[in-house]
Amino acid sequence: MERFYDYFGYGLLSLLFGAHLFGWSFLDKDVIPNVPKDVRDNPGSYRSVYRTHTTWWGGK
Amino acid sequence: MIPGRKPAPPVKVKSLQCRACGAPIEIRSGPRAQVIVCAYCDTSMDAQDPTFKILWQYQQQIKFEPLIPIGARGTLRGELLECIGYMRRTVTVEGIDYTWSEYLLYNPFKGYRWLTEFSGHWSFVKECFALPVGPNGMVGVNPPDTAVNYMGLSCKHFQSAEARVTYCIGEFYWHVEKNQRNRVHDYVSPPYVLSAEESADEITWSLGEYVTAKELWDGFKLKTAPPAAVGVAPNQPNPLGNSRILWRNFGLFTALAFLITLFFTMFCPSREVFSKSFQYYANEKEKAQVTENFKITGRPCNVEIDISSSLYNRWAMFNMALINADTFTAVDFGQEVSYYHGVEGGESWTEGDRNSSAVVGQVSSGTYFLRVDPESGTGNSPDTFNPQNPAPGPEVFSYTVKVYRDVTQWLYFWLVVGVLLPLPIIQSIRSASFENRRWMESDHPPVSNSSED
Repeated sequence: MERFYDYFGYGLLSLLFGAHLFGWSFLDKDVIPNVPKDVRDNPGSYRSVYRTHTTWWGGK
Repeated sequence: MIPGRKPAPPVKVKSLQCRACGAPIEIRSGPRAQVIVCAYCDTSMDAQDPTFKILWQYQQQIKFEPLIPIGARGTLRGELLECIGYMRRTVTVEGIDYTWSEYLLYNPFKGYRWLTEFSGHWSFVKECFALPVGPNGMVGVNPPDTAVNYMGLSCKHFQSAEARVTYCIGEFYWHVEKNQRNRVHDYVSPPYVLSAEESADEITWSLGEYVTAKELWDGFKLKTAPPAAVGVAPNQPNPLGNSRILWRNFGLFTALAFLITLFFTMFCPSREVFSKSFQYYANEKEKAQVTENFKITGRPCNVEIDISSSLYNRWAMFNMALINADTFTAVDFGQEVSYYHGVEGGESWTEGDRNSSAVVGQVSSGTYFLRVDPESGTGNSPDTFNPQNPAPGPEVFSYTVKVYRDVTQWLYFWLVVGVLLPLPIIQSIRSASFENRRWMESDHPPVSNSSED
């Protein structure tokens, strides 16, 4: 058990180091190639996949 | 061989016949044998007497077959040993008899050794070379000291009881007889058990070490199956290991994780690469905005996009796209905010947050811009453009977008701690449960019975 924990711990530390060094993230994202080049002049020419929100959080 | 000296005669096993039943008997330990008990008729004979006079005679009602036969030879911990005697001893605690077996082993050059067996748990026992010491010097056995030290080995008192011999066969180096009584005291420090045996005129100390049945069976090359170990023996090593080692390593890993994170915080500090404020108008036809270009330099790193808003009693969904100005590849993600405030029953309440942040991982160096497309509303549906009244209307809220590169994520440090933590906790609980079962059988149970109070 101690040996397993050692390997487990050092593995996690390696992951932590890698996450900091390479800037890993948990963000749920989509990579979209070939965005229309006129997006700067016409922001509406490209719509994010996240658009059209249907949920209402409400409040109390 | 030394010239001129006669070779030593080979060691012989002396044979005789039982004085009572005539069965053949062998004396294996030579002149050291004091008593021989016939395995057939249980007659005890004086081995020191030239005529092997009968000391006592009685028929033991139940015959016990030793698991290691008398005369069996085997190697244990590097010592070649022969089993020469077998006895069973019993203690009575609260009206219940607890019986264990003891095997006397002999090597003419090493002397005597013992093997004890209780509920399938075995200990290899040697006589002590030195006298253990108690907290105040001499060991007190009446009442017994709570802890003793033997050559640097600290042992805790486990149990004291009066043991009686209930069965014996073979040869012994003292005058053993049935119902012979001794007070025994056991002190443990797994895998060791330090035992003191009190007789009328002396206290004998011995040190036992836990051995597995497999080691014994392999050493003696026994064909039979060893009895299964039941329960927890006083000196049985905790198979779950020492949870203190896990806790020590947990502390070490936590410290290293902290140092790694601190290193990146200090030597790779986050930098703001872009900031801009926008206004949100409910009736604006095209609410999406595009920022100016900004540069991200250096190694691939994370990029944190923070949104702070003046949102009030509504929600907003920011559909974000981090677009590479050179390749026109976009990373799409969403950021949600909602903020509500009210007064209910005279008490003010708030819910949600006006701010949000998202971290995009592994962003390569290059020129980027952001496309921010907000959706917002007060009910289920977002605000929609009214073509009948194309004016954007008043500002509903403002929001500021800030972009940082190389933001040290302390969340990862806490995640590492969170993932490392359960194992030592579980191990501690299981290990404590094992120790609890061990000490429940002792004179010092961890939980006292309330009926005894």
